[in-house]
Amino acid sequence: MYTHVFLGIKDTMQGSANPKILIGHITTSTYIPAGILTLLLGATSINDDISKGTAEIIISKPINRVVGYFVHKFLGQSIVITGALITSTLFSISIAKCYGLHMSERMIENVFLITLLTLLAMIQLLALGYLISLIIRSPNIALGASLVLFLIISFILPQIVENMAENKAKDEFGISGWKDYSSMSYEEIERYKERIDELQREYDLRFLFYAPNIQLLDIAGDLEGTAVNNIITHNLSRIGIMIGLTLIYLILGLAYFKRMDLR
Amino acid sequence: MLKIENLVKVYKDVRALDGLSLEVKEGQIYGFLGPNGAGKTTAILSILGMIFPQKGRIEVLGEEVFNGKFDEKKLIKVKYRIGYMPENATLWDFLTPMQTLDIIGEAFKMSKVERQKRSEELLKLVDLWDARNKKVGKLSKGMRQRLLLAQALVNDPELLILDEPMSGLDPKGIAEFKELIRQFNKGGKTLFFSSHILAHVEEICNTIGVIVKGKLRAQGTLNNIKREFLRKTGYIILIETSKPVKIDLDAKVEVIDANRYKITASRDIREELHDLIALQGAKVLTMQVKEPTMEDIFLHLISSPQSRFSGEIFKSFNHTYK
Repeated sequence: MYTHVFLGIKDTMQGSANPKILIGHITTSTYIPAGILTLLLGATSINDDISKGTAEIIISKPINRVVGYFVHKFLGQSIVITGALITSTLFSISIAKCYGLHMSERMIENVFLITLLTLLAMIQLLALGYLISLIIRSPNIALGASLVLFLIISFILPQIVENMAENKAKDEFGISGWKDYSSMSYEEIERYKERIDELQREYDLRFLFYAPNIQLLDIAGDLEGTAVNNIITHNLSRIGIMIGLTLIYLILGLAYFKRMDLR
Repeated sequence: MLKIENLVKVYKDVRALDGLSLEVKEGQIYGFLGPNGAGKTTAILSILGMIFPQKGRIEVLGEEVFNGKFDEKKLIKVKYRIGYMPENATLWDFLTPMQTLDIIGEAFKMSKVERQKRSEELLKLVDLWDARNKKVGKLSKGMRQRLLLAQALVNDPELLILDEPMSGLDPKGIAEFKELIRQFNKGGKTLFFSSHILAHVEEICNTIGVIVKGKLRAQGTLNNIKREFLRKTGYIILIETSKPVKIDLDAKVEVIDANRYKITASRDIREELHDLIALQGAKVLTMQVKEPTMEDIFLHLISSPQSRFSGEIFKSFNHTYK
């Protein structure tokens, strides 16, 4: 999974462990396919069982529909995703080492931290997928809807928020056109860029709290120069939102499923 | 064994169950007959707690599992004693029949040894022993139906509920399936079997309930239902006499030819006919009551919404619960 990321780093930076590049690669090249697959997996989890009749077979047996079916199914899929992520991370590190990439302890720590955060994001997407699969009864429509939702959450809305942050920074720095950039000093341009970053992180938390990839990128931004064990404490609000949203999706799903007609 | 009282289920603006009441007694093969969309599957899924009716009462194996709301504990308790085979369900394609039955056995908290033994017994019973290690996805439709039946029998249920079990099977498959059902019933087990195919119900079941638009229109043994049908729609008696006679009874008489008559009466008047013909010095050469088929009854019930036939069972049921 991460092999091409490591090799990319090796090709361009010869063993550099620059976390921003590492995270940038991982979030764009790993999060997107894994995220889509996870959301699609969740979005067809219950409705597909209902349409195929397997839910009827399971629930006709002496098991509790909420704990015995819904929760166990969710936990089972979460364990599969966890196993897949950890295994592929270990495999990727081994392959990268075989290809001669020097991996510092710090880099390995960063990779595992990102893997855990990616896992958190995947579980959030899985829970969202479950909610979709309960609301949309047709598995095919649910697949299409979740794909569209993923594109909106991961690409369209972040782009809109990024523009908002940039426009606000432009207002603050009195930039109205291209010619204003040429009159700015190097320090002003640096301050302007920092302000955009600052605004974007603020807006991400305010307007994109439901987009796990954005929270992942913002947390990853702290990796550079911060001790691994401090990253979680620095980003408690973002991690809390990811866990909280996962729980909200699950509670809503459970409440709905508890009273849902299975046909 | 199974009692349903005044069950109501409304989906948005469709009344799928409109005060359904029925009773299945121990050892019966109860045929739950109705046209497509009559509410058969909704009733079955309600019994199993998969659908939430708005009103009514359901008692399964002596436990009141639903009375306005489900009692989850009782429902789980009775599910240990129920087998259920859904209509057109797909089992897990990537498992073998042996693995499928093993997983189902786990749901009943059976030990590994018990599961292994029961799976072997069932796969032999449904004639899937040779295919025990094939993937379910590679089995034929008939084999998959038989596996669906086997999964419903894992816990050796006292009450077996089958929803349209023979739909999509070829004639050979249907014959095999009927035989399996009969074998199951021989052990004194109770079957509740839904179908829209009259011939299947007529052949296998000893008690029949006809559901139309969410209401039970008829219930009882086939003979009782036929008798009730004749009582309501009239007996048609065909007779042939040794010489022309005058039939002066409370009945509609049509002369087919010189000595043959078609008589439609509101009751069975065969004895009176015999006496009347004898009084006129004639002999009855042939006399037969035109037997209604299940199809006649079924079509009559569907086409006349107010019709309601009941055999003895239905009468006693009404007496108890009305």
